[in-house]
Amino acid sequence: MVIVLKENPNPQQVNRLKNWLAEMNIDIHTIVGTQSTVLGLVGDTSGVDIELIRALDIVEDVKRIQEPFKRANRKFHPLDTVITIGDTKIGGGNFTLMAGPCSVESREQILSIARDVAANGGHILRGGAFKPRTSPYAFQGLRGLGIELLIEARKETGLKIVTEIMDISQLELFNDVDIIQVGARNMQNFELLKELGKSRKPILLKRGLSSTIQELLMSAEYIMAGGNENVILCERGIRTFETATRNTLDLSCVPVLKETSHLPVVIDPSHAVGVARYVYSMSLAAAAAGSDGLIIEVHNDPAHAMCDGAQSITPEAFGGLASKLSELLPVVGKSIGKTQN
Amino acid sequence: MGGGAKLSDKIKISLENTPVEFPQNAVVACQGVKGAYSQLACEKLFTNPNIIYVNTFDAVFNAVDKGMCGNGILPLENSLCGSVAEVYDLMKKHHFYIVRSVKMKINHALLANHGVISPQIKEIYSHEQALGQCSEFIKKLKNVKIINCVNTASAARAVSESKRNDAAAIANPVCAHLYDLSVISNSIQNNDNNYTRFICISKELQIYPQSNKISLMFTVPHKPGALYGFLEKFASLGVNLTKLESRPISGSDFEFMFYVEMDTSVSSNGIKELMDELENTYETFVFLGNYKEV
Repeated sequence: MVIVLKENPNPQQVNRLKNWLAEMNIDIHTIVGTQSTVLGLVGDTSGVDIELIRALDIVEDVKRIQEPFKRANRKFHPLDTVITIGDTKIGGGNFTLMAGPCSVESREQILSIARDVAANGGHILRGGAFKPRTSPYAFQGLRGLGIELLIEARKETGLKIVTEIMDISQLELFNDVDIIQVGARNMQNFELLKELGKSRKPILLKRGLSSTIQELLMSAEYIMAGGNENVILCERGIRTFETATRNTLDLSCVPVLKETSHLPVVIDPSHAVGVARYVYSMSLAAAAAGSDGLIIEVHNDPAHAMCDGAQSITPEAFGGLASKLSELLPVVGKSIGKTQN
Repeated sequence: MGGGAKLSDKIKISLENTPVEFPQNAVVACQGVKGAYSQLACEKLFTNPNIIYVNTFDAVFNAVDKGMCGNGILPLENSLCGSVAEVYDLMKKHHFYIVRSVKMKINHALLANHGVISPQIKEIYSHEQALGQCSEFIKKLKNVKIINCVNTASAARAVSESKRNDAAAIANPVCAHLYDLSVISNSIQNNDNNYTRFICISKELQIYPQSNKISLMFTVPHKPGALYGFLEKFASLGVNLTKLESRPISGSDFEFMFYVEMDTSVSSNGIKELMDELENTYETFVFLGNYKEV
């Protein structure tokens, strides 16, 4: 249930309303907007007399939220969430470019790619330290060392860093990471999500390869229920009968997520198509569809990449894409690399 | 009133548990907005009320019933216009007790935005009771459209917010200050003897010392002498009835709910016993409280 308050409500009366709701064990989430204040209620609201609340002089409107996700719901939070990491903003008119290799392979590799990403307009460096691979015999990542190398790359280039966590036990290693990624395969690892809910670090939550949009939002709700509102949703392709591409990029999720949720939506075209030469088109399409950013695999030597080389684009290709995006984005009311809001 | 304990037992428990002093602070529901007569009545009862404004009388009952507020203030009757029918009708719907009542002198003024003069006014906003109490004044104004509002103070607020120079509100002069309006004419009621009685309600039966009024609500069967039979019991105890009101029960074929008020208290001889007798005799019999009027 959401309660929209009138402009400049009497604070004493607002407090009385909140106390009364709290007495019924309802969790209140206050969102102060530029024009109105919204109280989002979480918990068993079946006993709340909606007509009584509507009759209060301080109340403009009351709505019940039918969807099972509450904190992630746009009705709860009418304005876009903007996540700020230093001078980088994600969401709310800012278009963010995250790029880097599938996995951190060596010091030289990550530093070299980081410089290229920074030089070509990227904001955030991606790179896997812990790799969820389909085969147990495939490269599993540099683990702790990989994170150290990412931190070194951040120091040199000023890029923020995002890397994937696979298990709760690794959490301590992520203390100095800017954005923690939850991979598609862990999207419904609810214990991990709950643990991340206790953190205040931004979480990049990838949609599971056979998860619905609502399931993705419910996973975001798990993190947010713990108090961590800094969730970035990421579409990375879903499994369909089509085999020409690795997955099918569900771009229709962008308008759906933008309508139902206030959280930033980032698209991973690389994992979605799995073919480097298709990444450019799908990146532009993602920007045109209204997403808040891209996470792209960039490798300086895709042919010899230890993982997912086939879908990695070169730093030059990334630079070309970034410059095209800077032409396209103003058309859809966004700007690249600039901070707004 | 629910089954279980006898009414006289509930009254005894209440007499033991009610504090000696009427509280000074309370969260109180009032219909209207700041400047409403309900607010003025509330401030006469409580020194430090925390007022929750709601826009209907029904919400005042609900706010008390659902525990949002400990008390609620409702207008019951006016010396010029009679009972507030809506409040009486809502009494059937809700469980509550009257813990105090207050008589307020009502003074209405015609309020408009600064610089507006009487001949400019084309529309007057107010509550229907206030409009009725000022009917003679309104009649003298030519070509004026009357617009009903939920409350006199909301009418003043609406006129102020509209910034119009052809609209005015009838409300207490206090509202001129609250909503930045000018008083065009003061004391415009038909008769200066204009009083409204307000009740203060609570979810719990509370009977404070010096309570000398009892209110009841009941139905009697459609047969000769039924109402007389009810009232006769009070006559035989020498109790003075101060009010008798009847309201049709919606959905019935002219069945009526009766409301009586009387000058007595549960400590008077025979009253508690009579309450038990009436509760057992009549299909609907509700003890609305024993309270003091201030």
